[in-house]
Amino acid sequence: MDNNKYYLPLLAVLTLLALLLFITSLMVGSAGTGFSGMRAMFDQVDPEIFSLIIREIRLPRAILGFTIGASLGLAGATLQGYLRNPLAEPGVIGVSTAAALGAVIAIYTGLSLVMPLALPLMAIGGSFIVIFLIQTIAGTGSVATLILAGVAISSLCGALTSLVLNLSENPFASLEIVFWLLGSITDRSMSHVWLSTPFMIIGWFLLAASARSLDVLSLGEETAVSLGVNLSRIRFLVISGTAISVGACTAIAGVIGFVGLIVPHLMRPLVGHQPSRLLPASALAGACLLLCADIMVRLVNIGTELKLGVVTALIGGPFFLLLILRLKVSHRA
Amino acid sequence: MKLEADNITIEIRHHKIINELSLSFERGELVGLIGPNGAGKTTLLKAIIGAEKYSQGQLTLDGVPLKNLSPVERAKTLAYLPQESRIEWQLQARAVVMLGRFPYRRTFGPPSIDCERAVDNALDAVNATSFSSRSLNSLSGGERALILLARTLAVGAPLVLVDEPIAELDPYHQIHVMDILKAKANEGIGVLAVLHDLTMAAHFMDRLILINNGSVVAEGVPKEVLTKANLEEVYRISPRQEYPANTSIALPWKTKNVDT
Repeated sequence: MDNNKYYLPLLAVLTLLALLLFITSLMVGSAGTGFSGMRAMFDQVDPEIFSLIIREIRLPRAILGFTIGASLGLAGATLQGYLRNPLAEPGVIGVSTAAALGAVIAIYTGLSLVMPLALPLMAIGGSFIVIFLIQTIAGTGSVATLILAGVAISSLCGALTSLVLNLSENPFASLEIVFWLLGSITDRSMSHVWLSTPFMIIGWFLLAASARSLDVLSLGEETAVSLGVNLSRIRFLVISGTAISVGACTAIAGVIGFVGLIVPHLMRPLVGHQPSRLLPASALAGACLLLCADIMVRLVNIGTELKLGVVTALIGGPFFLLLILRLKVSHRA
Repeated sequence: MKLEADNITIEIRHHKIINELSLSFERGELVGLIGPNGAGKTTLLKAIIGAEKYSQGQLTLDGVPLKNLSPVERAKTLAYLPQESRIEWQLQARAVVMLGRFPYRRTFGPPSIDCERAVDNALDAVNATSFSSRSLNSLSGGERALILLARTLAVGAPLVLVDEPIAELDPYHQIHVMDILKAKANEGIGVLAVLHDLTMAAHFMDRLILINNGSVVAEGVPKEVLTKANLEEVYRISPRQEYPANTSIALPWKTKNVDT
């Protein structure tokens, strides 16, 4: 199959889909859903309140659905390309949990109240430390080493988060943190968008700059060096790009796992398995997936709204197991 | 264009892998780097491409220290084919060859016409055009080796370093690969090839450099290097030797300790 021919159309289709889902996201909510619901809402409420609902409640949610989904998809694709490992993902290797720990500390100490910027910065700091640790421990070692290191670091960060909750004297604050950790983009405001988007965009640029080198890295590190790749520069781009974008996501939305695992896996065959091409495709598909999941949690009415992070984990967990099973089979063959 | 290693010493964890070694090769030459396992052949190649540090001595290109070259300049001058060729993703064969054009490509955007042409030529040079649109993992070992060789040639470098290019190939592909390297040398490219097959080395190489324990033991035309004494001392084998038409064929026949 000639993948060159399909690459640009694929990106065009994904862009269109993301746009459609973005608009759909604006049209879904408790105040009125769909064309008829929107119509009814428009007739019933003040035009000012109508525009307020759209601008202040639904728009931030749709924007965050797009940016966070794109960040997670892009970071997943880049990590997989860099570590040359199809199981690498910000959540699986513990980056999201570390970012959550950083954010929880910022919330717990009240730092985020004094300085809102502390929330994303602490989350980004947390992910920086973990990616650095993972790189040092697992590097480009085997799949097993990477996953084990991720599990160990995840549980350590989880334990530290529990410790913070344990030490919290205010049970309501703890409950709030627990719910926040589940991962959601409900009831976020434009200020959340302003707080996170600049970081994510910086992260995207850093990750995108590594794209071409990721292709060459698939030939192995020495060949990449022989072709003029500066390994420490690439490491900087990937580590800081992932930490900044995923840290900013987690600071705003809590832990939303598995997007960075599922999306690159689905996109890979469509882009001829080329790591560089996987990046834009995964970013767009990640945005689509998260927007779609966020629309679903609003449409599925089971009394209380499902958290986005819970849904992605429910889909992603079994998917992850399936992926390991398939890798095992292909290794045996 | 001439690459010179002058008194190079490479230490890995305080262990001297290469010990005050000097060698040179230039455009148009097909040079075989031979020696037993652990002699330091691969380490030396890695030092030349900049993937291994050396603690002493100098590597120069036409008298200019390699260290003064930018990574991209070095990449355009020296192409490298590693011994281990695991590729993580199921890339299309042509896309793999295109990776050789990395030093010439910008961060974003499609490859230039020059790049496409270089890839076409490289595929043509190894007779791999017919299966270049297939994915790499669907190819046989021989076809895969040809694609990886094409990747190395696609760089368009005047000097090429290849590490055991025929180690895992059947006789046909071994000779095919050696023919390609010979043709490239005749076109004016300098090729330094690490080889284990002494028969192939004797048959195809203009010059052999025999190294052991990180130092050059012998150097010259195959006939001078592949002597019984050298093979016994360095390889610990007794060869069975034939001397057809001005060359020398050394067949590894038995270990030195047995019945000598």
